[in-house]
Amino acid sequence: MIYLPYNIIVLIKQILDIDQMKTNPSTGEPITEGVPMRIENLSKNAIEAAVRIKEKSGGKVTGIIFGGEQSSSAMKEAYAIGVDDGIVIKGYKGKNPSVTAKVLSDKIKTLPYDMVILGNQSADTYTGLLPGKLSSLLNVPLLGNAVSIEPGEKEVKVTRVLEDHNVILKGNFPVIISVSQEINEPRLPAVLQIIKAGKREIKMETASIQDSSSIKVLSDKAPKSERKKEVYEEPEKAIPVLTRVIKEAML
Amino acid sequence: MAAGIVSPTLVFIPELELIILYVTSFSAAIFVLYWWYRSYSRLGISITAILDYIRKNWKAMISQALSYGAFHKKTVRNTYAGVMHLLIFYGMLILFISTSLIALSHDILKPLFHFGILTGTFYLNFEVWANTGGLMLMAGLCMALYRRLAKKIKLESVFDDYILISGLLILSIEGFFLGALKIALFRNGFDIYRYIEWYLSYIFPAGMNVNTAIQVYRELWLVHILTAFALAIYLPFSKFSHIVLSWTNVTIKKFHPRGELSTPFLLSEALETGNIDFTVGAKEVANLSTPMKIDSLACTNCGRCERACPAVLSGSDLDPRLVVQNVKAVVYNGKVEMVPGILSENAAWACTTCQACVEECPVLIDPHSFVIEARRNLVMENKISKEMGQYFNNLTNTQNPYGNSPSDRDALLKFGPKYDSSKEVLYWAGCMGAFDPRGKKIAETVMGLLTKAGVNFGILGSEEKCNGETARRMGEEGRFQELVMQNIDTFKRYNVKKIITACPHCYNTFKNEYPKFGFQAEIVHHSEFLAKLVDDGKLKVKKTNETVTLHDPCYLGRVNGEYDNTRFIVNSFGNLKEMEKSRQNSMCCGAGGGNYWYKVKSQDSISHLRMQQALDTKATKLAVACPFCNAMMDDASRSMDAQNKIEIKDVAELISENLEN
Ligand code: SF4
Ligand code: SF4
Repeated sequence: MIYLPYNIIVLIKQILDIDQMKTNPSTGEPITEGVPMRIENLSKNAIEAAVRIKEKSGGKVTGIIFGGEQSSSAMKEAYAIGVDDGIVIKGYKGKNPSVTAKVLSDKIKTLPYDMVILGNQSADTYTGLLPGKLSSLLNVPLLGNAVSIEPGEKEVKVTRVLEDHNVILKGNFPVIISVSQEINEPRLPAVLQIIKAGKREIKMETASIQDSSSIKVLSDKAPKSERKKEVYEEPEKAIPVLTRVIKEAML
Repeated sequence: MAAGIVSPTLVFIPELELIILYVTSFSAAIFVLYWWYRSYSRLGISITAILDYIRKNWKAMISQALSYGAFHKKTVRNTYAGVMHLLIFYGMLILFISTSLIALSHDILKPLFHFGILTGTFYLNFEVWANTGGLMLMAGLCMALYRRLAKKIKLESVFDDYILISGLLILSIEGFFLGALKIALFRNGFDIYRYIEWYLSYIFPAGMNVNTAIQVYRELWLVHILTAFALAIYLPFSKFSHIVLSWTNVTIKKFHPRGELSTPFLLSEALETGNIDFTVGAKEVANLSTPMKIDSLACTNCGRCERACPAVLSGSDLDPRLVVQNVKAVVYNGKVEMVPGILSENAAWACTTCQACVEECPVLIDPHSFVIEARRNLVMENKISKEMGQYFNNLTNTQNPYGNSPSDRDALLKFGPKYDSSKEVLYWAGCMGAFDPRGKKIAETVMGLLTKAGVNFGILGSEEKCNGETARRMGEEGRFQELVMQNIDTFKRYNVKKIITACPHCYNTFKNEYPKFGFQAEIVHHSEFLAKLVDDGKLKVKKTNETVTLHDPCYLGRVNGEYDNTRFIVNSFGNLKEMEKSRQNSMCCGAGGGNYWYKVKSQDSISHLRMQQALDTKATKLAVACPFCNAMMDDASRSMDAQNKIEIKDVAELISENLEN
C-alpha cells in the first residue's frame, strides 16, 4: 500500500437537476422530461475534498460514476475540477442502493486506494444507505458525515458533526469517508476548463449485474402545498402581515 | 522690407563652444530617438513591424497625432489642465521651431550659401513669436507649479515633477536673459519686437563693458546649452517621457467600440477544431497583449482616472491609476503576477466596468481592460467567491442569474404577445425584467406603452436567455459565449431584425459584442424608442412642474454616448435638474461588472454616494433608465431613509404616469 501521496477514489452521482423539476399541477407527479442532469451537490463536495487532498499531498484521484452514456458530461466536469482518471459504469437504473453498492464495490476492489470519498446521501432519493453498504461489502471502515479530512501517514483523522457536538475519528487506511455539505465550497470550473477536460479519455464500462429491483415506488406525488404566495414589495406593508402570521402560528 | 533688419550672428561664440553645442544636441537627439525605439523594441516589436504599421495606417496616425496629441482633444475638457497643457506644449513647439530656424539660418545657410533667412519682416515676426513662445511656456509651467503647490487637486506629485518644471523654468529664464543681453549688446531699434527681452535688456547698464558683457554672454550661453542637454537626457527617465510615449500612443491607437471587450478565443471555433490550447486572461504582466503594454507605457500618472473612479471614491483598494502604473513599472520584465502583484483580488472585483477611467484618460489608455484580464485569469484559476460561483452555476443551469426556472419567463406573456416573424420588433425584457419584481413592473409598463402606441412587437418568454454581459465582465468568457451562441440561434430562427432592450447592458452587448459572433440587428434601448414615440406624438405626455433629476446609466451614456433621449423624456413632462456629475462625468450606481451579485470590501457604498448627489439636487424624482441602477438607488434610498424625499422611477414609468389619456 502506498502512503503519501494518496490514492483516492471518489464516487460521483449524476442526478436530474431537481431544482429545475416541475410537478404536473393536476396529477402532482414530477415531470422529468427535458430536465437537465447535473452532478449531485454532495458529490461535488466529495470531489472537491479529494482534489484538495491531492493538491496538498500529491497523489491521484480516480472518479467513478455508476450511470449511463450521458454521465460522461459529469465526468468532464469532474476532470475540470481536478479528477485524474474517470470510469463510467453504464447500466444504472436507480432505486436500489444494494445493486449500486455491489457494482461499485466490485469495481473498487480492482483498484488500489487509501480512501474512498463520497457524499453521505443524494438529493434524489435520500436513502443514505450507500456508504454503509459499501463498507460492509468492502470490509473497510466507514468514517461518516465528515466535515474535515486530515490524512496522515498511516491513518486519517476525520471530524464528524453531530447535532450538538463534533466527534473526531481516526481510521487506518484504507477507509471510506462520506462527506457532509459543510466540508467545503466546491469550486466551479470555467467553461473552457470543462471543454479542455473533455478531451481526456473516460473509461466506459458496463455493469455486470442487472438491477433486479426489490424496491417499488408507491407514490412520488408532490404534497399539496397550501402556500398562498403573497408578494409584498414594500417592507412597511410586509412587516405587519409577517408579524401577525408569526403570532398566529405561535398560538 | 526695412533695410538692415537682420538677425545678428553670434560671432563672439568661439568654435569650441559651437562644437560643444552640436555634439550635445546631436547626441541628445540620437539618445532620445534610440530610447524611443528601445521602449517599443523591448516589448518585442521589430523595426519592420513599426515601419509596416506606419505604411498601412499613416492617414489615421496623422489625424490622431494632431487631434489627441497636438490639440489635446481630451485634456482640454478640464479647463485648467487643458490651458496649462496647451501653453506648455505650444510654447515648447514654438521655441523648438525658432531655435531650429536660427540653426538653419546661421549655421547652415550662412556659412554654406552666404545668406540668412532671418531678415526683414520675417525676422520681425520671428522675434514676436519667439518671445511669445517663451512666455507661453513660462506661464504654463507656473500653472503646473501652482497646481501642485496649492494642492488644488489630488495629484501624485513626485520629486521628478518638480525637477522638470523647475528645469524648464530655468531654461526659459536663461533664454530670456540671453536674448536681453544680446539686445543690450547690439541695441538695434527693431529688436523692440522681442517685446519681453527688449524691456528686460534695460537691467543691463548702458555703459556696460563690452568685453565683460561678451564674457557673461558666453558663460550663460554655455550654461543654457548644458541645461537643455541635461533636460533632454533626463527626458526618458521623467514624466516628460509622456510627450514622446503618449503621443506615440494616441497616434497609433486602434479604435473599437468602447462597449466591446476583447475576445480572447472563439468558443464555436474551439469546439469545432478541438484546438483549445490558448491562455485566457493574464496571470502575469507578460501575458498582457502588446497593445495593452504599449498603453501602459503612455501613462503620465496624471490621476484623472483615479479621480473619476467610483471604486476609488467608495474607498475600495482598486485604483486604476496604480493598476496602469504598476504594469508600466514591470512591463519589460513581465514576471509579476497580476494578482496580487498589480492589484489585489478584492480590487480586481471592485471594478464596476463603468469606464469612467476610459472616458477620462487623455492618452487613450483603457485602465479597466487590465482589470478584466486579471479577472479572466482568476476565473480560470477558480479563484472566485461563493456568490460568483453561484452566479455562474445559475447561468449554466437556468440561463439566468437567479437560478429561477427558465419557464418562469413565460409569465411576461400576460403583458405582451409571443414574438413571431410577423412582428416588427422584439422587446427583450432581460433577466431583471423577467425575475426582479421591480424590473418586471418596468417591463410591464414598457409593454403597456408599446401596445398603446400601436407598436407591432413581441417577446420571447422562456426562449429568452441571459445575454451573458455580466459573465463576460466577470471574466467568464466561456459562459458568455455559450449564452451568445444560444441566443443567436434563437434570433436567427426568428429572423430578428430589431430589438428594444429594457436594460442598457443587454443593449450594449447586443449592439457592440454580438456582431463578432455573427449577429447584427438594429438595437435600441427603450428610452430611445419611447422618446421617439413621444416626439412623434404617438404617446402624449402632459406637462407638470415637477423637478426631476436624472442618473445616466454608464452603458447608455459613457459607453455608448447616448445622453439625449432620457433628457428628452424628462423634459417632456417635467423640469430636469442635472446632478453635479452628469453625462460623461456621471457616476456609476455601483452595480456594473457583476458588482450587483457579489460584495467587495470598501468603506462606503457607491450607491449611497450617488444617492446623496441625487438628493443634493432637491429634486423630488430621480429618473433612471436601467433596472440595475433602479435597484441600487432604491436600496440606497431605503438605507439612507430617503424614500420620502425622492422617488425613483424608470423613464418609461415617468412617461406612463404623465400620459395625457
Ligand atoms: S471602469 Fe470604473 S470602476 Fe473600473 S477602474 Fe475604471 S473608473 Fe474604476
Ligand atoms: S491611465 Fe490615463 S488617466 Fe490614468 S493616470 Fe495614466 S494617463 Fe492618467
